[in-house]
Amino acid sequence: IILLQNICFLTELTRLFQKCWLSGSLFITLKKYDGRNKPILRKSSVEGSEPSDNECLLRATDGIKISTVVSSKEVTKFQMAYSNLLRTTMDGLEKGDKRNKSKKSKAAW
Amino acid sequence: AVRAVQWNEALVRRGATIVERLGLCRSRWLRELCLPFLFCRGPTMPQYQTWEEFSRAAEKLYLADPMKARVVLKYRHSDGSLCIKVTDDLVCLVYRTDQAQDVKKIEKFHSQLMRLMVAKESRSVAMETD
Repeated sequence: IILLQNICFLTELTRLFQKCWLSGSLFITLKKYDGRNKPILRKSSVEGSEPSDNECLLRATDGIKISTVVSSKEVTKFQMAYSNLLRTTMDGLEKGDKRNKSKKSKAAW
Repeated sequence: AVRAVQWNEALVRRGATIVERLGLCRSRWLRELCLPFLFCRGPTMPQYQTWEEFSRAAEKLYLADPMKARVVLKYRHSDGSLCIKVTDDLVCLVYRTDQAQDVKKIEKFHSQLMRLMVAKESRSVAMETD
């Protein structure tokens, strides 16, 4: 699993989208992250590295896994870029049939 | 669908104490494999037909335990399908779509959850529901 900076993650994510354009699935996972790098052993102390509450982990994979950590300082910028990326690339879905039909019926009336 | 979610929530609430107790069990097999089957009495993977029901249930599931819940997006351009799943490893909520109008809603929901996860504990951000 490759851990990247936010900007690199977005570039790699675009590349992953392009890779599975014709076939394959892309999985994106979002999870709250508390700064843990090592697993918590039962008998040792609970908190090893400094715990941070305000971060989230974002992973993407289509076989190759990439990941990034977003903290509260970067979230605004990252979120705008990330939302735009998702909206522009996920355009393979069918346009709303129901909406078109209701528009046509409204125009008819 | 609402009843299914209520049933699962009750299971989750009851099951939380059992999970804590079993978490101390030495056998990892017992903890990770058996626990899901202990709660297999009701539908554990409800698929939602409407976005409103899904987003409300998913928001509730996340707020119940923010550290455990995760959101998974699966996009297949070849099939033109998008699937969003919110789970805390006990309950799994799924919403599938092939409509372009849902992409914006799903992406907005995804961003809202991201903001929630990143917000500091003292400040609770109220989720805007569509």
